[in-house]
Amino acid sequence: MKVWEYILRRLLLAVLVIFGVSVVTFFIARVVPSDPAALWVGPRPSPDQIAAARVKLGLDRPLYIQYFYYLGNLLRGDLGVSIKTHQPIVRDLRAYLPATLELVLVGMAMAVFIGIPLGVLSAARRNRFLDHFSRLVAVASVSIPTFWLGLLLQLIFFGQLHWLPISGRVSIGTALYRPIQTVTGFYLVDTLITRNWPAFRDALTHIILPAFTLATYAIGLTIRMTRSTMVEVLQEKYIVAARAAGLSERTILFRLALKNAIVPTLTVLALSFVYSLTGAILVEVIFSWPGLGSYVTSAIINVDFPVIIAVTLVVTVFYVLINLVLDLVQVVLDPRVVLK
Amino acid sequence: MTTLIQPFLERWAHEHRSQLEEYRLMGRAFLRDRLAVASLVVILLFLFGAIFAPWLTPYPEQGRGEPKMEEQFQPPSWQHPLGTDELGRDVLARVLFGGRTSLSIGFLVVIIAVAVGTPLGALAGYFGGWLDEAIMRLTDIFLAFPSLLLAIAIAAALGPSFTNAMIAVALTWWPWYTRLVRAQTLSLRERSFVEAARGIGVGEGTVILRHILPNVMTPVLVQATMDIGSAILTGAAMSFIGLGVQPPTPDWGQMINLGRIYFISRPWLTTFPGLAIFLVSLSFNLLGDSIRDIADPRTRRAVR
Repeated sequence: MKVWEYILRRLLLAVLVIFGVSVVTFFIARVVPSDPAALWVGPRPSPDQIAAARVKLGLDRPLYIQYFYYLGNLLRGDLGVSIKTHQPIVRDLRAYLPATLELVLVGMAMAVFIGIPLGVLSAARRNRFLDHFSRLVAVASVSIPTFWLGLLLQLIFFGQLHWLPISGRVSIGTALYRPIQTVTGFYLVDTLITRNWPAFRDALTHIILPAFTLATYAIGLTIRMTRSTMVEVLQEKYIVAARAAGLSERTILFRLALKNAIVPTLTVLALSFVYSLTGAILVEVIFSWPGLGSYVTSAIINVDFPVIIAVTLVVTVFYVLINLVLDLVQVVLDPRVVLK
Repeated sequence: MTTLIQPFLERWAHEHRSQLEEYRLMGRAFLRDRLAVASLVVILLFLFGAIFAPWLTPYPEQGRGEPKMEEQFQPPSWQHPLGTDELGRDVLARVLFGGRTSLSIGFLVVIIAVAVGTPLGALAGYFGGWLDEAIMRLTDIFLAFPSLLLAIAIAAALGPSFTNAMIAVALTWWPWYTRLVRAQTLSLRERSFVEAARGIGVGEGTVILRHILPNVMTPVLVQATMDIGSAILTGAAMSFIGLGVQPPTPDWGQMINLGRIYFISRPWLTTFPGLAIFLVSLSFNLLGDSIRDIADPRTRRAVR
């Protein structure tokens, strides 16, 4: 298969998948619930309200026509209206998305700076204490319930040590006396641009615990992946040659070997980035972080169905696009993958 | 009686001797892996606790949900080794009873996923063509969703309950088995014993049932053991956000959700159910890793 043929096939598949995803969400929104109109009206509906909603939602029309209306709205960027707030969901998403993205990005940075070095050192000192320790961390981090880990960290760092704040994005004091001007919606960036140093410090201390909680899963995966690829690379002849030439261990590990072991790790990191977008749902509940996760969970409590469906759809499309980019980047970096 | 079936048993053992030898080697490798044996013991202990919960605690009615307000928020003591919760119920009893729902959701999700995913994978791999294309594109679509989010949306549409949470999670899980079984079937289809069966005129259905499915079961079972831990975690997450079992029936994730507002001053409400989830899921992950290594003769020897 030629490279461009592969790329074309991959693009077509992405289009097909996004189309399929819209069908599945439509199905969940309109066909699965026993009465979508009752869900739309909210708790304790009156019969008149339900009848009105049925007409408004087009539920009196055939199913395939309903789907085309649904698809048409999506293509125009209309995700519907929240039952609870009566706001267009797109506007809500714009407010909540930066908070979640900031959390996920800081978490990913932690995964890079903790996971990769631990994986490299673990491979270099195979079957010694550090290796056993980091393999234990790797297994534990994929087995621990994140929401429980978050509570434990709160108990230790807030309840016992009083080092870090328990929840929220900033403290009330900052919100009142050094309010953050919203430019990008990322508080760490906004406070830097506006040189609001006390607020920057405050935002930084608030993000450490939730970001770390979110990052544990990615840290575990990164350790595992880095270790296994490094173990292979370290047996190659050029590493033996570098050792014989007397290069320092640090240069060998982090400059020569890591360069060839990094690609699978980066793939894992990109995948756990998207995974973290959903992991954030649980973490945000624990840390009262005002992002997508808090938005979805309050929607679950309020039976705000359009919100749940919209968030599912948006995050999934995000997921598909990142996977697509990842595959295309891999083809460019290493055209051999086309052969598989 | 014994003399009657003896010859049949011997003949069966003789016909299956290489298979039996394989199992014996697996068993020996497993017993040498101390971590895996310890994991199995932990899992069996939790299963035992869940099954015999009514006889293991002096407060079975509290385990099922009956409140006792005068004993609210007691820290761990001799009467209540893990303390009492916001309604005065013994936390140990709640954890034991919670194991019934939390563990069964993990097992049932994997069982449903295997039951749906395996036949689809065998059909796709065996017949190929448009059927293969259709089934595989369907798995592409389902795998495109972040699984927790899809489960949340489905469970929210169906309404929160144990059964619905289970169905919702299983719906996000089956495509992995379909892909696994399809890949196995593709290579089995070319093997001579399958061609021979077809050659002597055995029907397509019989070939799949008698020759393909028995041979894909080992990788499927290995994958299933590795998945139960994450299925339990996902189930706990569902009930943590309120989409799983509804009170008063306990569940570990739900107990953490209900106890978390008192967490700083009364940590025992959430610490113990969380520890239970962690231990069980860790044990399943360790056991799954070990079984994967043991089932493959190439890596079996490396098992310590």
